[in-house]
Amino acid sequence: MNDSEFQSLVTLHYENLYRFALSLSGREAEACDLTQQTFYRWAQRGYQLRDRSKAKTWLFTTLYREHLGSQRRHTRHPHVEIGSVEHELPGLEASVISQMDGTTVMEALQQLDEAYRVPLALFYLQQHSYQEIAEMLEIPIGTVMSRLSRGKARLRSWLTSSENPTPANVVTFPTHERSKAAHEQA
Amino acid sequence: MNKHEAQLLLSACRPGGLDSENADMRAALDLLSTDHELARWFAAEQALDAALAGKLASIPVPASLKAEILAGARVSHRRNGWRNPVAWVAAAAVLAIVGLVTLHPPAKLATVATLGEYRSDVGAAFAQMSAGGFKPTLGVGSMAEVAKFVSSHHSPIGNPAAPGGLAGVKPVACRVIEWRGQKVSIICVGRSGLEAHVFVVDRKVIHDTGDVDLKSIARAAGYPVVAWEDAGHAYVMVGNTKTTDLTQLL
Repeated sequence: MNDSEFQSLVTLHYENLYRFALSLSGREAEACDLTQQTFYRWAQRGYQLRDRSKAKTWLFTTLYREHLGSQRRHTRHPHVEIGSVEHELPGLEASVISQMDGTTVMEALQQLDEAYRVPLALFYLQQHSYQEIAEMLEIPIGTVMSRLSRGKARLRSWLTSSENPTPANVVTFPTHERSKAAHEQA
Repeated sequence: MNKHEAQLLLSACRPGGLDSENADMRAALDLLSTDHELARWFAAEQALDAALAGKLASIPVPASLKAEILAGARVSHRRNGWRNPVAWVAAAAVLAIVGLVTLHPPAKLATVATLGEYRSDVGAAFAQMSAGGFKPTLGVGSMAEVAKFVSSHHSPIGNPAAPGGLAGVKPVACRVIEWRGQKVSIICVGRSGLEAHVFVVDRKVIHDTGDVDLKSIARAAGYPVVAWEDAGHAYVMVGNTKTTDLTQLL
């Protein structure tokens, strides 16, 4: 891959890779690191990919694996059965979403368990089909669908509650304290 | 396909017809013409999904990110080409440096300083980081986790069980930064409600330790600091607040 091809690849994907990384890490600096590391991996190994149409999926998969590799403890993803999908989603209209800013939606996304957050971020970034998500996360297609469905329900719950904030969900938690609390909970 | 199955499939259908070529999805979409309730549900679902997707796409990306990615790539490409592993050592170094916080501009690559200078720099750097909301990279629960993290960044730590002889303090977080071209490990420690941050650097970059009283509390940038050394490393502990009593942590 020559310089201009690499530049095109970066131009095409770095923004959505960054947003995906931000949804995973919640921190700008870490998201930048993950994005950079992903392109480093591409240049290291990605050129071996024969089917260039799969470059996008390769990049997102690599970023996700880099994230997993950097995690102190891997979260055990619960397997959600198709039969347990929730049908009744909290009422939330598109017009309400349009009044929110992107950061609010990203913050809501980060409230979800990673098992739901990862497929949902990939879905909302509109980069991947449910089949591609299943391949990337190495989980069955049915599980992807149920996680999307449940994840959406939970995201809407959160956004609905943030539409009418209570003292409990508007308290800001300093990053440092959050990392300590996360550790204590683990 | 029953309604439940169709709903499950359709909830995974991306807005804008991105998945309409998918055979399963097409079968579910066909049901919309006969099931009006399902069609109403799907229309609302797609509108909401499109709105959420639009909001996520509006998240700003740091202006320098693309330039940083390309700069790292250009350095290695210019020298050896993408397939040469040596090129990637250079690229990795560039990317690592970009990703790290620098206490001083990288151009100032003096690899020696006195312990007093190191202590002052740490105090000033911590004050600067605190002003911006100090953020360690990783929350930890043991020195072993600290050792694993900083080692993976090729940053110094000293005795991994008790860096700098510190015993009885609980590590809570860590981070790696760069100072005068050298890796510095920050270990955030606590005891009895007090918190401090230990900055560990390779002893070889400190050419003189005579300008400070070892293990004596001083102040730098308003914060309490204390410096000491062992055979391989130099340490500066800085209090988390300007009133932290470091004697309780040493």
